[in-house]
Amino acid sequence: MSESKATQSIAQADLGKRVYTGSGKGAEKPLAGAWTEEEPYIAAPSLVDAVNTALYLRRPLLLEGEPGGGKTRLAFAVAYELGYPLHECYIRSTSRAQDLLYEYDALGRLYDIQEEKAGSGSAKPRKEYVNYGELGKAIKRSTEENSPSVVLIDEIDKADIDFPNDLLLELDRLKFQVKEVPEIEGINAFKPTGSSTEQTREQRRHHLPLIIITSNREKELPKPFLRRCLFYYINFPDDRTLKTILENRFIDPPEGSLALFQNIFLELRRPELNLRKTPGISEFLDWVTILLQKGQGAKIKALQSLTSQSKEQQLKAFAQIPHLEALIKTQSDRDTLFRISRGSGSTNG
Amino acid sequence: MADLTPDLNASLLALFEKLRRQDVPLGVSDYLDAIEAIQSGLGLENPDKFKQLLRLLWTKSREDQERFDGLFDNQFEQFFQAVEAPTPEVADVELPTPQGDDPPSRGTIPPIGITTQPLDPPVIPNPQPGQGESAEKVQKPTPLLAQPSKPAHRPAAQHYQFIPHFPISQRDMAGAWRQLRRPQRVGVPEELDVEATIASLARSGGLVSPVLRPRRRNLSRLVVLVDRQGSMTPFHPWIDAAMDSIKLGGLLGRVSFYYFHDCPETFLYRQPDLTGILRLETVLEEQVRGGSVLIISDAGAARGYFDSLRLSDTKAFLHKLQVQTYLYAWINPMPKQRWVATTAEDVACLVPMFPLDREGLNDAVNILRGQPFPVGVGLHEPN
Repeated sequence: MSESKATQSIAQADLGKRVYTGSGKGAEKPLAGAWTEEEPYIAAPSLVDAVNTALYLRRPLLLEGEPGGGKTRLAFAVAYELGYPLHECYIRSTSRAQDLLYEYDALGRLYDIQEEKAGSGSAKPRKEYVNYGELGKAIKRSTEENSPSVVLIDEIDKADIDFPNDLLLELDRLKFQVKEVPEIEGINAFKPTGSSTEQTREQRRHHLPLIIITSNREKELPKPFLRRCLFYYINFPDDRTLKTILENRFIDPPEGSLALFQNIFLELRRPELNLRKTPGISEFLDWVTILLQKGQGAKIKALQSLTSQSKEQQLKAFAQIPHLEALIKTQSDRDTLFRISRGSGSTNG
Repeated sequence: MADLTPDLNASLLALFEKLRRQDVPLGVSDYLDAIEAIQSGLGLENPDKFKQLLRLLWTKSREDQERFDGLFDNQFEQFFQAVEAPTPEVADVELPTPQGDDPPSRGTIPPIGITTQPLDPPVIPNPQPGQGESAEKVQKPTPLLAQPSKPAHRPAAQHYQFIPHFPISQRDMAGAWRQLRRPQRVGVPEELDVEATIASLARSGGLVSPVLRPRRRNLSRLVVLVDRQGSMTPFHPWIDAAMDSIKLGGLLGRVSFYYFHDCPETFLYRQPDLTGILRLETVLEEQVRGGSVLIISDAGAARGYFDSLRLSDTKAFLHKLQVQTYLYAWINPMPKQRWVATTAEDVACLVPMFPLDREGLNDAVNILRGQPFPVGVGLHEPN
């Protein structure tokens, strides 16, 4: 117990120094319960700055961008690099803001009371029936352990239109009350356990959770909600960054294969192709993973020989890309590619 | 903590005001956050980082970002020029001494608290007649010519903004649509009905089974009929934005759009270019039935005259419509004072018609939610 206290105070001393660098290296001294799964994530310098600004101001960071562009993965990378615990909230269309904070198992308690009356088992105290949600856990962690964390609220636009508005107070003030159990004191990240008064944001800065929210913009988020967020749009990476991403993720690939994959991918993303769903980075990485499995060498060679030919031949090659299913997700896009391949073939013949 | 130089503060405030005027949702706390971040040294490495910082803090969508880019470049171009190459004449005019204390390296924002230039940055390519010293004229072009070699600095250029600015922003329109809701409990019972459970407990003396109820869901359905082409052509971009705002308003999957020209008669169209023909009756029976209907059309107001044929056509359409639903409203992109003495004025007596502004949209949404029509408006009113 005393040992964990000691490590905690060390951690606190250096909390202020922790910044996100986007290098993908794990923290030297991860906090208790930190996210330790390695995340090879290459962030653009401006995104690194954005994360650090959000970290400094402790304001929620709202991320938009292409599907499969790394919005969600960023939270993992940030948690890993800062050595923070990670709380993931995946939003569904039926999610309510309340669910992120806590759920009170009234039903379980009722049953337990019934059983107690019948003479078997016993009802536990009320507060045992509170199940905290991920955001609730993060606020609790900050309040009770003085430990910061990363909270991921994924695809907030999927929820009902009330959802973001219902979260305003919790995101802003980082406090909530379990109203079913009055004896639990209000949980307030600005008022750590043992402190009698509420502290300022500046004093609490390094102990508050960092909230990362992603959106696909299926709905326009309400103005008051937007006002509280920092907004960052994750652009599609440029050629050099893409190359780094590949090199970072796939170690020791066959000579020249990564450049080849990248070319094919960029070719497939060309707007002239008019695909309904252009492949994103995550699909691309999946595809490369498949191709770099053992025993796929022949396919890579075939691909290499195809693309080394003339432009028309290259177009033709679309239909022969192995494991196209990893990149192209709709039948109509598949048809389009096959049509292009055939079209160029017929003009040749 | 050091204060910001008055001119940096003035420039920031000016930019902030301009963004607010462009309907970017910003409040005082956003401004204070920016100041706090700058004072803590964030974004001061070079002009580009500075821009990134403000962009992060003061924009809330990609469109905002585009607006921001133009405004920022206009606002801060001169500021950075003056800062990057502290020209002697500026120092001479304003402050002879502070310049000695370490002129900042190129491409750096000066340390906070040091005033390096007068409030109105006078460094513009054309020498001002007032400051007619010959040495000045020779020196002035130098910082401008040196620009291309500097990283992260754009040459002075005209900034164009291609984001259209409508009388009401898309965000505000989406906000109005968010109010369109008819929450009802439908579907699988999954939520514990505490009161009913307690009542059952009290009745039976023991817990038989908990009472569950379905969750509330928004059951609103909306059919939008949009007038295209002809007199509506100038409004197309605006109407497109309005339609996007409906799509983004949260009625996911329960909104459908159909198009017509001048007045919905026998047919509606599935595409905005008036192709994909459908029978009006079919749409009304299959899609409308009890749902809400919004009509977007100028109702002849843009033409500016009275057309009795159009009026009787519209009347016939409304008769067909009211068989299926009583939740319908009309949005007219022409301002209200232009409806006078046109077909629109008469149509506005038959159906609740509102201009496309904030109040108008809110009123229309209220009608679509089931509020009664305004007094004197309706098909069967004597008018």
